[in-house]
Formats: sequence, structure tokens, C-alpha cells
Amino acid sequence: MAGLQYLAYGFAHFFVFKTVLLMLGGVCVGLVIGALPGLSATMGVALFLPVTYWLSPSESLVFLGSLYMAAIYGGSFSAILLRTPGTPSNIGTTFDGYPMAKQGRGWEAILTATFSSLYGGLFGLIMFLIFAPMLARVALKFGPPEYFWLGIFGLTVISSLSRGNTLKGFIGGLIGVLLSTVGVAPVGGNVRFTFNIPELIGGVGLIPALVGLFCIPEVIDMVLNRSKKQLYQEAKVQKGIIWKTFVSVMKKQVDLLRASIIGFIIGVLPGAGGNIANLVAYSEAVRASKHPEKFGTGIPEGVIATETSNNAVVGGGFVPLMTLGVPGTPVDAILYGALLMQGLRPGAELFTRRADVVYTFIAGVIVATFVMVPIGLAFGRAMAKFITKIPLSLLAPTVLFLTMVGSYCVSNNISDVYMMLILGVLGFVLRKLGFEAGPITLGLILGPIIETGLVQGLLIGRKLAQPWLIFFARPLCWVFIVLSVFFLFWPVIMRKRMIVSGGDQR
Amino acid sequence: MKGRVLVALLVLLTVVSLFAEKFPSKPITYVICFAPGGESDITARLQQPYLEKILGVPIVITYKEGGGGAVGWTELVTRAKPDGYTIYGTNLPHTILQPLQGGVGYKTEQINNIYFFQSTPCVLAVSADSPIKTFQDFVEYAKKKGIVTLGGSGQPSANSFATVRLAKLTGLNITYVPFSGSGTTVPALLGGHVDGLMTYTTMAVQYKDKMRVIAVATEERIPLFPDVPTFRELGIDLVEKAYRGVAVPPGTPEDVKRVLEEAFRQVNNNPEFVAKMQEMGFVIENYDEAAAAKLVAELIPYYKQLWEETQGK
Amino acid sequence: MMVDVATATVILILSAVLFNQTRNYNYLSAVFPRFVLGLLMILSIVLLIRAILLFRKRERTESNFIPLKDLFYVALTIVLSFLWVYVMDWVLGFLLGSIVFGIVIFAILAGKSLKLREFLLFSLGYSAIVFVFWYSLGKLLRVPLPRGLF
Repeated sequence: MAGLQYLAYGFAHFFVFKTVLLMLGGVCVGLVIGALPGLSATMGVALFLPVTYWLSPSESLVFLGSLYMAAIYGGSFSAILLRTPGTPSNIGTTFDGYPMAKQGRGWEAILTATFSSLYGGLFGLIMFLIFAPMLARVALKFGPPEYFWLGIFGLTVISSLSRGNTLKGFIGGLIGVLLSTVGVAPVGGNVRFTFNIPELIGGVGLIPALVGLFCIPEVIDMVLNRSKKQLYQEAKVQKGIIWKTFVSVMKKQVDLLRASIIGFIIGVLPGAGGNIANLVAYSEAVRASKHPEKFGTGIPEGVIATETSNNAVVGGGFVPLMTLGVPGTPVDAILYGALLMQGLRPGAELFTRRADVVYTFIAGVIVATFVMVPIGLAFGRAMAKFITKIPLSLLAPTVLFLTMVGSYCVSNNISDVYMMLILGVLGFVLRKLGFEAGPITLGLILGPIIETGLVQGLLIGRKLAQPWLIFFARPLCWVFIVLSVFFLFWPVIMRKRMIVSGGDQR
Repeated sequence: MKGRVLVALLVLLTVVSLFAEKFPSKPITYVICFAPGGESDITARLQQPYLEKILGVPIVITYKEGGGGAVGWTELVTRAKPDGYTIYGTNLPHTILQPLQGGVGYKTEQINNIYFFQSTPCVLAVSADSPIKTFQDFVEYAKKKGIVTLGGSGQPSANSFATVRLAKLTGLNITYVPFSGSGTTVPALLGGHVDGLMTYTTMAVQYKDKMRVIAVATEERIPLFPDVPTFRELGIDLVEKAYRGVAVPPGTPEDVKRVLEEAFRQVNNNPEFVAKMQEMGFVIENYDEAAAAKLVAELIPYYKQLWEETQGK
Repeated sequence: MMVDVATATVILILSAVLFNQTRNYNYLSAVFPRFVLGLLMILSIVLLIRAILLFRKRERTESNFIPLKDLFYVALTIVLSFLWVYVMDWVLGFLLGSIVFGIVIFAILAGKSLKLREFLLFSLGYSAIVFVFWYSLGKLLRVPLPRGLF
């Protein structure tokens, strides 16, 4: 592993005043962007990309990479405190993080998220350094049929996310998938379901939808509770809770490792959407736990699963980006643009001829992952205090403002803001009817993956006697088919198991 | 008498000062209708320093993405101010195909292109470790296997139509597999999921060591790939490119348009700029406003026919 | 439960309408939406059946009914939000529009529970936040914010 030498070299190169400053700047900006509801990591990286044009390649990558990692971590703050994921990667953190906040354990949740993010982030980066070239080859084996089943598998995860009402969860998921079909068909080119409204031709954007579906119902709740001063009690900070939480998180090595691996692998798969990693990790944690029914009530394991995996995605996404020039996640697509802008070409030659850039970059992001802990905690504490100090009557319009900024800045398009509001009202109604935002958003994310996998697969399959056979002809597909079936019937298995074992709680 | 002279002088002064307010006198916004980091963005950034020097004002690049460019182009013809201070990047065949597909808020004819400065021709490529070394090999392979798959970016797009025409002209059974964006076609090729790609020169340049180009869809051979024959040389009349240019909102004054047009022409004649573009795989084109309009007019019926033909599937 | 019956029916009808739409699309564009719509219709029928079967039980779940007064505030906020976007885009622009509407909504929701001094202080703070965003996004990052007059 010549990597170690290069890495040392990378660190040396990194510790230059300007680069360190940029890293710090990236962390701060990333934390703020991630933590504020409505602003996402992808948006943040995209916003600052043009700024990096004037920087050197390593500088710009360190800045953007630090921003990215910090934003994914920071997104947990608004997920925990406001039940609104700061970025799509934090959706799962709302499941247990918010209940913890409501119980006055918000600070503990933030601490858990912090240390989990640290672990996951480092894991992903180190795995990248060690395994990048090897993994690239495996990632290539993923063709359309494999992506189709991966997407289906992603949908079946809904079954463990919506244990209250699985049927409504799946209907919600399908609604999300349906929403994703609005716009131009990826294959075939027809314009679908726009009813001749030109604004819909871009389809339903993920960020406006995410912000609308999660944030607006919270705002409406604030309106309903406008006479209350706070959403929930502020947590009493006990002495030494930081160290205590750190130890208790680190003790759960199995949970941490499992979530990290899931996050990293999903990040490696090009275009698989690191956004779903946190949900898959969450559902795996539920499945593997001895007390699955406790998930959703506010247990740290829930936060650990989501926050570890989403930061591991960061390192994972770099694998296809740097080795193949194919983005692993939406943010990587922008980083790809950053590389191109600097005249660099991702691929094997990036590792050899411009190893200085790659290793300085990784060194920088590793340091950023550490640095984001103290800065994040300070910011998180401030945010937690701030939220409980502002009267709800002001918090509502402030959050509203942020949602508008967040949904506008994705593509500088005012119709995205309208879309966000419309989906927001819809989301509120749906929630009242029993359809949660999580499955719907998951459907929205997975829809394009499943569809392109399906249709491209059918086209490729024309070589075979029966096109659809291609979906069953390849070994990797079967891995996901089995996983999907398993997850689909998991609640049934669970119930049987509980009946057999005498079924305690419930 | 003196009064009238004074008035006349005043009028003269006002008129002169109005014209003295030459275009451009404040920053120009160059809107890219795609996400940052893409090829249109990179081209614009390469042009930026030259434009700034020629026009003497800052060029501010902003983005308005959505709908594959449709959102930006709709804004171009509906909301943008026709004073020359906002110009939009345009692409062919997108701006012809999108109104055909329907649902967009603009018509091809509304877009006032003042310059097309580069193009990316389509190329037929296979994986570097594929047994196919020449176009003849490709034809034999296709005939042996009965059916062959080519990946490309978008549908409908230059890639997809090039494939359709290739199939028609050669009589081979070629299935086009669309991907969103050229970036995703590469792993499909490298992973062996498709037999080859009908992609753009820029992709071939970027992945030079991983892809082998076996034919190009241009009138003449491309300097970057001197050993690769054109389709025409192989007896197939296939020329297919994607063009990039700039447009101004409808109703922009003539003199403003001339200034902009001239600026882009000068940039395109700058050898340094040309070298940088060609290095990335772009082919320099020089279509001024009149030539651009003619080109679009020629291409509209061509693409219309292709679109209607492929709708049967 | 009645609500579920209604919901399932609505989904069923909408799916059918959309399915009908897909008849205009070519095969490749229609394949997936039809697949999804089909599944959706099946599941909503299941929901319908389940709701009807449980109808007898007549469970009283958490009262989902929102008091009329609150509903009024919610509706007002929603309407104001849409107006906010429209005015921000066509009249007042990002900075002024956000400040005006933010403070208006704040005032409406606060009602009588806030003292004037507190109200002014908070409004100032909010305006400062909006200003920071306007400056960093619009000026520093050169994002083309909604223009209106500003």
C-alpha cells in the first residue's frame, strides 16, 4: 500500500495556512448549511462550487469536501431538534432523534450523532484509501438489472420503517415513486404527467419535496401550537455527559461497524443515492436488534445507525468518483464538476499523476472530520438553545424563510418554492391520514433508480430470448432479490417470532 | 435666436450622451441552463477571461438548471430583459427537440441564437479491451450476435438519433440504451453491460485510455483522433453533433447583438482559446447569428422527422 | 374507518386517471408508470377492504380534528406563504419581501402574547438574519435571487 507514503505527503501538503483555513471555512459553512432546515449538502456544495474556481485543485477539493462532510453531520441537528432532516441523508435521524429531543434528551442525541458521524466519516475515508481501485472493479459489475433490484430492495426497507402501518407505508412509497415519474421519461423521452404546466418539466425536485414534506408539516404544527413558548423542554446538561455519551457510543462497536459498512458500500455504488444509506442502515439496525420495538421511541441506536452510515457514504462516494469519474452520490456529481473545472480528469491517472491532489484532499477531509466535532458541538448547543428561546410564533416564519431559501437555491427556480409549499401542505394532510413523509421521500429517491434500471435492463435484455430474463440471470441480482424478499416479509416473521417467544411488550 | 441654438445644442448633447452610453457598460450575466460543472459551464469559464477583455466588463456566470435546460430557455424567451446584459447558453439539438416533445414553455423559433461556438460530434466507441478494433469488426460482431447494444446520453438526443440513423443506414439491429448524462454511460461500457457507446468526443478524450473510438460522425476527421475514419469515409452518411452557443432574449436591439456576436467571434479566433477547447474534445464552430438561424432552420425538419419515426417504438 | 375509505377511494380514482394519461406515451415511457400505478391501485383496494372490514369496530383514534380557530390560522399562514413567494418574486424582491412577510406572520401568530418591546427586538433579529442571507447569497455567491424591486 503505497498509499501510506502518499498520505503522509498529503498531510504535509495539507498543513499549509491557506488550505487549513479553507478547511475550517468549509466545516463552518457546511455545518450551518446542513443544520438549517431547508438547506442541503448538495445545494451547499453547488452554491460554493463557482467560488472555488479561483482556488488551486487541492484547495478547492479540501474546501468542498469539508463542507460536504460537515453538512451531512450538521443535518442531524435539525433532524433531531425540528424533525426536519437537514439533508436527505438525515431522514432516518428524525425517527429516533426527534423523540429524544421531545423527552428532553436532545443534547444527548446531538452528542450521539456527533460521535457516530466522526466514526462513520473516518471509516469511509480510510476504506477509500485502502480499497479504492479494487472496489472500482466491483462497482462496474453493477449494471441496470442490478440497480433495479437494488432499488426494489431499497423500497422493501419501508416495511421496517413503518411498523405502525406497513400498508400505508408502502402506499406512501409508491406515491413517492409516482411523483418521481413526473417530467421527461429517462427512456422514451415522453413528457409525463405535467398537464402542460411548463414548470413541471423538470419533475418533482428531491430537495423541494424533502423540505416540503418534512418541514412544512412541522411549521404547521408550530402554528397550531403558537401560544406555547417552546416545542419541548430544553435538556438539562449534566456534567460529564459528553464523555459519558462518547463512551457509550463507542462501546457499540457492532452497531457502528455495521452502519459504516452499509453506508460505505452504498456510497461506492455509482448513483445509488447515498441518501438511502441511512434508511437501509436504520432498518438493518432494527432487524438485528434484540428489542426492535424500541426503535422509533427515541433510542440512541437509531441515531447511531443513521448518522454513522451517512457519513461513511462520503468516503464511499469518492471511490467511483476518483477512480472511474462516475459520481457515487449527487454531491459527487458536483465534485466531479469541480475536478473538471480545474482541468483534472478522474480516473487511474488522477491517482498516479496527480496523487498530490487526491491525498491532500483526503488528508484535509480527515482533519475536517475531527475538527467538525468541537465546532459542531458548539454550534449544536447554540442551535438547541436558540430554538427553545425563540417563541414559536417567530420560529415558524423563520423556518418558512429557510425552506424557501433552501428550495430556491437548488436550481435558482422560484417554481421549486411553490412546489415545496404545495407538497408541504400535501405532506401535512397525508401525515394526518397516516402516511409518513419518510416512505414517500424514499420512493421519490428510488423511483428514478428503479425505472432506469428496469427500462435500460429491458433494452439490454433484448439480446436474450425473453428480455425480462435478464433480471434473473445475474448473480448480483439474486443477492438483492433475496434481501428484498427477506425485508418484505420481515414484519410477518417478526410477529411470528414474538408470538412464539411469548411476546412481551406490545 | 440664441434660445433656439441653446435648445438645439442641448438636444444634440442629450442625444449624443444617450449614444455615448455604449454597450456594454455594466456587467453581463451569462446564464448556464444546466448544473454547475458541466460542459456548458466549463466552456463558459474558458471563454470568460477572453470575453471580459474584449468587452471590457465583468462576465458573471450564473445557473438556471431544470428540465434539461428547458427551465432556463423558457426564462430566456419569457422573462429575460432584451437589453443584452443577460445572455443564455443554448444547445442543439436540445432546443429543437424539447418543443417537439412538448410540455415546455418555449418554441425553437423564439430562441435568438447569436453564435454557435463549439460542437461535440458523436463518436462510436468500444471498450479499450474489446476485441473490436475497427468499424468492420463492429459490423461483423453485430451480424454474428444478431443484435448489439449502444449506450448514449439522453433520449431523444444527438446520441440517440445518431444510433437510429446508423441502424437504418447499415441495416444492423442496434438497440439504443439511454442513460442520463454521458458520465453514467462509461461504467456501463466498462462493465460490459453495453457493447459500445454512441457518445461525444469530450467523453472519448476524457477516457482515452479506457475507450477506443472506431468512427466519428463529422464531415472531416478530427485532429484529436487522426486515425479514426469518419462515417462518410466508411460509406455511411452520418454526421451528428451537439452544438453549443449563446442566445439573447427576443427583441434585443441590433447593435447590441452585433457587439456580442463580434466578441464571441474574436474569442473563437484566439489560438490559445482554440487550443484549450480542442484539447478537451470540443470542435470549434463559427456560426454567427445569420448562419445560426439557417442551421436551426435546416435541422428542424430533420429532427422532426427522426422524432416522429422513433415514436412508433 | 371512514377516513381510510375515503383516502383509498381518492387514490384509486387518481391512479385510474393517471393510468389513462399513459395511453398517450410510447411503450418505453409508459412501462414504469403503469407498473407503479397498477401496484398503487392494488394496494389502495387492499386499504379500502381493510377499512371497510374495520368499519364495524369504529375505533376512536386520536382526534385528528383541528379546532376551527386553529384551522383558520393554518389556512391563513398557508395563504400568506404563497403570497409571500409571489410578492417576493414579482414585487418586493427577496430582501424586502422576506422581511415584510416574516414579520407579518410573526405578528399574526404572536397575537397578544408578546410585549411590544420583545416583538420589535425579535423582528429586528429576524430581519438581520434575512439580511445576512441576502448578502451572502446574492452578493457574495452571486445567486440570482428573486428580483422584484430589490
